[in-house]
Amino acid sequence: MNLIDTLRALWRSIVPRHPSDVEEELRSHLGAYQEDLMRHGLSAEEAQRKARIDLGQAATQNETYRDAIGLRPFDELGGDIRYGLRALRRNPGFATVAILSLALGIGATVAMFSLIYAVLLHPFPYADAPRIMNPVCVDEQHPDETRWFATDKRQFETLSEARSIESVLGFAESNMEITGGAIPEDVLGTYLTGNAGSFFGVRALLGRGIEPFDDQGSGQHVAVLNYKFWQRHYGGDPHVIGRTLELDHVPYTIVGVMPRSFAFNDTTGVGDVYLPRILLHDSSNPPVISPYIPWIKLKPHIAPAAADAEINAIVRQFAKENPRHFPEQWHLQLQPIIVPFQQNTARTLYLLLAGVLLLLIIGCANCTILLLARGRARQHELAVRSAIGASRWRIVRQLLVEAVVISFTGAILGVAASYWLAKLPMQLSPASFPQESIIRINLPILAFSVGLALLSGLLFGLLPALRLSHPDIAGALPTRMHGLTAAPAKRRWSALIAAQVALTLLLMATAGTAIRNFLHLAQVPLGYKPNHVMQVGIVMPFRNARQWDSIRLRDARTAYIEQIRQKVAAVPGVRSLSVGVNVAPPYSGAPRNSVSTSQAATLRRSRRAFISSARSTSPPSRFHCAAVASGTQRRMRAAISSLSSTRASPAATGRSPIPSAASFASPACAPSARSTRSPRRAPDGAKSSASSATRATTVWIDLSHPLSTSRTQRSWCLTPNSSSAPRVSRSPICMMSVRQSPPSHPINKSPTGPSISTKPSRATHNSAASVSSPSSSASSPPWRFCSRWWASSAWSPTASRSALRSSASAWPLAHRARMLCGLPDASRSSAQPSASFWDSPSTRF
Amino acid sequence: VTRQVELPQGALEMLILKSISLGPLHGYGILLRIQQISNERLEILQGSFYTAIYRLERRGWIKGEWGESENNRRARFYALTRAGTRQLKAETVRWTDMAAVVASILDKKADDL
Repeated sequence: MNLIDTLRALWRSIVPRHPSDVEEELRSHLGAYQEDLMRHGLSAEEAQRKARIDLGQAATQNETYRDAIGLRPFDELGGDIRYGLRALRRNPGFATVAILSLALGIGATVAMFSLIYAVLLHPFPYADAPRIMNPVCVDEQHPDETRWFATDKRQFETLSEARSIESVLGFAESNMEITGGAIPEDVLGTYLTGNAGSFFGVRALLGRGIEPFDDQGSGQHVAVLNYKFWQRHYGGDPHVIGRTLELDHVPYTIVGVMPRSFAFNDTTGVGDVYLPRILLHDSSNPPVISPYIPWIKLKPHIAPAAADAEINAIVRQFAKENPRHFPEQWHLQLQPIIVPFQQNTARTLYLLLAGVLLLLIIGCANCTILLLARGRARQHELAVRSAIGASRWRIVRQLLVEAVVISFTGAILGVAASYWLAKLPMQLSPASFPQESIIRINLPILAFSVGLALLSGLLFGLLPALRLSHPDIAGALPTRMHGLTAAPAKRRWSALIAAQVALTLLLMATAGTAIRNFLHLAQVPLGYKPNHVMQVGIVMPFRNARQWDSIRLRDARTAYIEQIRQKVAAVPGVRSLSVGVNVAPPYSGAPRNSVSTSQAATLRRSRRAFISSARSTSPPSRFHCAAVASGTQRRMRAAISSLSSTRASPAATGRSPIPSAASFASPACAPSARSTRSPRRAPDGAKSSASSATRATTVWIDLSHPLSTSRTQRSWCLTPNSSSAPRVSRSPICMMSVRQSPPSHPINKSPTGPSISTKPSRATHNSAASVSSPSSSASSPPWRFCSRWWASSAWSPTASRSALRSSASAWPLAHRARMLCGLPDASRSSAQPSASFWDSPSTRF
Repeated sequence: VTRQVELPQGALEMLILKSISLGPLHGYGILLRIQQISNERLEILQGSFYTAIYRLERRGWIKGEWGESENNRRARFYALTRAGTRQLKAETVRWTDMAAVVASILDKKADDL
């Protein structure tokens, strides 16, 4: 009843009667009254006069009406705003300076806020993201090192039954290659349990996501694409649903594409394709023992401590079952998924926010001074207003409204500018932010900017408004008009100016610190120069137990890697070459099972260091195969592929067989359905060797790492691995770091190298390049080159000559090579890689 | 000689409601009727009269509609709405209660206290 009344009254205020309606009513009343008066004997003129005196003018009745229904304050406000706008237009110089100085401050603040909002407050598209936890083991001896752990099926189910848990997502990642095309492409496959759809609550952009029925029985061979992968590999083709994607020689039907905001998972590596978890056993042989890395979604309103205690107890039980997978002393921590990013960037971002807030305050101070200065010219006007009856509050209000008009105009400009400003840090340092976070203007940000504009308007307008509306000042109009300035006003002016200078200094200091912090991330000293160094990953995914046996002997592997090393070292343009087991120094050699999340963050930082130090003017750009084909990389490819063909069929090529190759192409490698398609089939005589080479597809080379790399280049070493090795197919790894000599050397085409032809095609540029084997070589190479080529400007032929020379001359070759991987210079010690390499724990595959 | 009475706050609204409870009236008619019923003892300031009308209309207690007045003048006729009828009833009870209490207190002689 009461509520209805209120609503009705509100409705009347929103939809008032039309002014002419109100006027007509009064006019009719006037007429009736007038007639009455005339009937009482007044003359027409007198009657009209008396009626007017009693009732008022019809023309002003609408004002009475609006006042009666409570619209007057709005009318006055509207009038003030219009007046403020007119005043701005009258004084464009003042308006421009004030608005610009505010726009700068507001724009920067809104940009920072939207960055913070996107990165720290709301980075994930997942439903109930704050309840999603990442259970990590904290090694009590090294509390900085948090590790993840993987569970087996039974443990996973036990975990799902915990009382404080709403649901558990299990995932595992696997490096896969796209087969069936001319050039294999490596992708990161992420296996997800069937509850992924409900766990994330993210609708697929096209088709559907992984659903429970995909994960039942023996599993459906379906794949859901990551947005970026879809864009890269399929050119964003909307008709991709239903097509077949061949991964590791197994066809998968594409059933969906996830939206751009979905980039699971950013800590270990964003998957390119998402597959049902149940297929993991299908594709890996021997089976993975612990194929579930858990992400936990807690029930709502569960106290973190209670959940922690319960899950801790469960995981302790797991640790008892497999003590090897856990540190000696540890405790479990449920870490919100945002934590790694908070650790990385929160401090810097808040520092930057403080910096831009100072900028805003300075802008406000500017406006205060400007308003005061202008107010002195307006004192006459204000004095007149107060003389004809405006109250002080009325004048203050009007001055404040004018200030808010300025600040809102500034805010509109600022928000428009912030749209670009906010993207700047993301572009400068893409790796620091979750990939999911998309910066866009949305409701909270708009509300923030409106609030900010109001606040800053009041902030800078209040002092001038109070001062100018002061009755004494208004009264002292005539003397003021002659330019006499009282001493106290002067003092106030200098105080303002001093405050502004102080603020500016403070701002410079803050901004300096913030920027240094930000850049610090990109300037971690490495102890060596990464320029012109390319890293070659040789990954040997072994598919079955017998293959596994054939390379278990350390000597076999050693000799094999050594062959590759020699081949690569002989490539013209290669200055030096060293072999390692891990990513570039200083992190190489770290036991893989202790790469922790914190280390991962550091690694990410160091990778950025590579970018910034190797970058000249342009950011690393994606190279198509054609561009890479010239120069050293191509010759290296040639060398490696000739080696592999030798290995595959020593008799056919007539070269001296390489002893250890036998163990790789041995019958131990079970024949599989694999076929590597080569555009030009070998002649008949070589067919058998071709197939044997095909069968030996146990080794592939990942040439994807010039040391300077980019964010989108997944770095496989980042997995916070547990010793249970949840990443299935990438165990044995050998890293080669190759230092390229300056490309001023004449480049000779390798006679045995494969030639690469490119058919430019926007949509499928990855598969457009086809490798044709040289006619002498009998087979397609069993080596797999990663077709994701990334090259830095330093590595590309377009790099500046002088930069190349200076880096080459400053670093003696042996020293450089040594620095590369902390190993003896490979080009000098040709016989044996150092014992430490092969004895390092991580190489005991 | 009749004494003039000044209306306390809020009473004008009640009188307007009462005067149109007998049937729709236009603004001038309402004024006349109030004066007539009160035997000319109430002098209503015509300026504040319309403010009261507008407020009542905004609250939804009265509803205006254009019609033809007795001497063929177009005029806006106000009628009570259902909410207005309720309001009038409630206000009347409130007013009589209050007046009775006040009157009973004022009627007390010094001896009764």
